[in-house]
Amino acid sequence: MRLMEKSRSVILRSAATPLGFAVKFVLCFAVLFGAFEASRGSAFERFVVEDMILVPTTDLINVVTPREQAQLAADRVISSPGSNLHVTRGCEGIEMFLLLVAGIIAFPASGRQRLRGLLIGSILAYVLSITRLMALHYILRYSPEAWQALHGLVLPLAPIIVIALYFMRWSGGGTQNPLPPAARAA
Amino acid sequence: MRPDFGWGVAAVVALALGVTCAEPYARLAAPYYACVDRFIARGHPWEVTGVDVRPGKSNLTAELQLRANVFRYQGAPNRAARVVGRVQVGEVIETPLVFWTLLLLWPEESIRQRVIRVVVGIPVFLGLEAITTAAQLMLPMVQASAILAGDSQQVTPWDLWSRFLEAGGQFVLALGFAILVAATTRRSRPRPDAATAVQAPPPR
Repeated sequence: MRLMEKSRSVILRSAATPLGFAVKFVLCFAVLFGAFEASRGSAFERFVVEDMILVPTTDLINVVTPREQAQLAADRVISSPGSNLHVTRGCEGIEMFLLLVAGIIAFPASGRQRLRGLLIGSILAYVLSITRLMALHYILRYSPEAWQALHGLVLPLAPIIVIALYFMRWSGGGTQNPLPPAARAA
Repeated sequence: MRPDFGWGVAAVVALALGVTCAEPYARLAAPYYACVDRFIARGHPWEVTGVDVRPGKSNLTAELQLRANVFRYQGAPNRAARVVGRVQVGEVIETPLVFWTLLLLWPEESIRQRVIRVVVGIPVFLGLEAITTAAQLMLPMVQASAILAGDSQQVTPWDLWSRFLEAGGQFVLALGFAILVAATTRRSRPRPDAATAVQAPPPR
């Protein structure tokens, strides 16, 4: 029993160091990525990518700008009279959820704090995913000359930075004294 | 300034710098990628003929392109395929942007420590570039070899690695390696009890 308590405290302490966090974070992300890749082509993956992300994005484009007449065509293309946005693997915004979940798992916190972090973070990641795809659609349609800078760097990286800042806020403000007394004393 | 606000400002500056410098950086780094890819191509039926920045297929983006010949077997007299590996210049600059922003802004105690961090960071960064951008450029060569071997449907480990990088793995690796460098070059502080022991007067 004491051994279990001791090893738990060692694990918590190692996760609390930057290096321990980095290792755990990379491993968690790799596992989550592997799990999602394994689900490619399944009903679950279609539900997450198409029903949860692409359909609401298309609907929202039509609500914001009814003249667009955007449609979700086959092969995950958001199509409108002036543009065809092909949403390929890695462009759907799933990586934001994976990063968020990996970060929250890797950081030492209580179950309640993790749940809160996941809940708010998931809403943020979802909003960012849809906003990013909408932005890509409008850029392709109205400002293709800005495509290189925005599609290549800003739009993939900026939402990840927002998630990272959210994570920093959660890990700093939401988790005071995340370690149990045994780990703190050690 | 709140630390997270400071990181936010740094992120915006880094993004602006990335947008401005993506293409020049890709041009500057192209010889390094060519060197790495030629090194990896040794022992495989591949021949890298060049790595440079060119307009993309749609003419909307500039791409870093690797051109290579693929042979049926090593030492074959004629090439069996000619392939082009492509990575957008925006993706090329993502690794240095994340890695160096984090490393240079990591809280330091002294300039000496910062210099040590940069010196240790350079070889780590070169390795990181090799496993991210340089590896991604080589994907079509691996795929062509698989097709030539009659295995067109096969998902190679290289495919999985490329998918991992595209799905946020590039960011995760840059972040992970920057933290690794920052943590390993951290100056170890004397433990409080050890300091007390040194300062305590000798018993009479």
